[in-house]
Amino acid sequence: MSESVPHPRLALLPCIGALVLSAAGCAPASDATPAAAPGRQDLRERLRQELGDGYDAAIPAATPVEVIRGAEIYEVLCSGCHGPQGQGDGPAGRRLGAPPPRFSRGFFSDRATLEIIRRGVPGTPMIGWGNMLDEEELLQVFQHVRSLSGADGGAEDRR
Amino acid sequence: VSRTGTLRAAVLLLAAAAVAPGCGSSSTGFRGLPYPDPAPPADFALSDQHGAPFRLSDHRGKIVLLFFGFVHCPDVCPTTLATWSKVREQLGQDASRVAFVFVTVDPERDTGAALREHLAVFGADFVGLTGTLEELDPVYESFGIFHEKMRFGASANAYIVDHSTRVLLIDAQGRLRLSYGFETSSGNLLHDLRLLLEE
Repeated sequence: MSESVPHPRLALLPCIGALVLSAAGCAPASDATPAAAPGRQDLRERLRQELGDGYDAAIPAATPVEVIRGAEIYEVLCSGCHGPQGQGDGPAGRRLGAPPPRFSRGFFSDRATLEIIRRGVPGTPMIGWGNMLDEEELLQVFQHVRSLSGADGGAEDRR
Repeated sequence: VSRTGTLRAAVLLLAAAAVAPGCGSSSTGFRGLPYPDPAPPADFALSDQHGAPFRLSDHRGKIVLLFFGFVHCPDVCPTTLATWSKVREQLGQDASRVAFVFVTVDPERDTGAALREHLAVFGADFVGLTGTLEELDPVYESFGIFHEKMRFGASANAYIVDHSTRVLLIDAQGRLRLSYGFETSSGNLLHDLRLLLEE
């Protein structure tokens, strides 16, 4: 994990595109995907069943390395949809059907969140990153997502 | 990801905006960027997400929307597929006259199964194409598709692919006719498809 991330440059293009189209009076319309996302309750229950007692097991606080690497990977892979602050307002997320969840309201338990990062949510645009990131990197992303969680609510959003 | 080289795509978008200040309409009446001399592209044969052969020339008579992307793309690819999804829905029965074709720029990770699962989220009949690098490279080259791995971590799979982001349109006569920036709305795509379906 020693390489730096090229994302600040990469992240510019959607902004440039939006700016150009907006300047031309052609702001893109929102496009929805017809895929029906599983309900949050269904997803939570499925994960609760799969993880058993582990569902509520807390993951220790982030190390300094996890803080930095998690933020960097999040910016490359996640912020396009979930937004830089986890508000579900990334430029790509706005164009998908159901907006991504707002982490700032709180999210699932630690283990459940990590599993979603790893496996994704089948039937939605949220793919799993488990065949792209190793365990260390998945944990780093989780730590960043958790750092964004709960600003507007509890540690786990029970909705 | 995808940003044909940030600069390249930005220049294309600027060019598109410059030639189409009235919200994308060009002198041809199309909202997309026209190819100056539409001609059939080099034919190619790849495998679809179900393992069946796909040859471009077999689809003459249909309009083909062509996009190059990858399953783990965090932004441009899912939004393009979401736009296609909306277009397909709004085309109604005419959707059978349009082929939505997604060609991977990440054949190492985009197996048939990965393409099948991902594309099913957006459109049951969307086509996902893959092949060996020997099969894919000439396709990228003939359409001018840029693609480059960009690593962001130590593990072997920790990379995204910087790639061309435009949607290409091949008309029912098999001619490479128009292209679209990745922020193109479903309405603008639909406008052009309806014009072409009436030709």
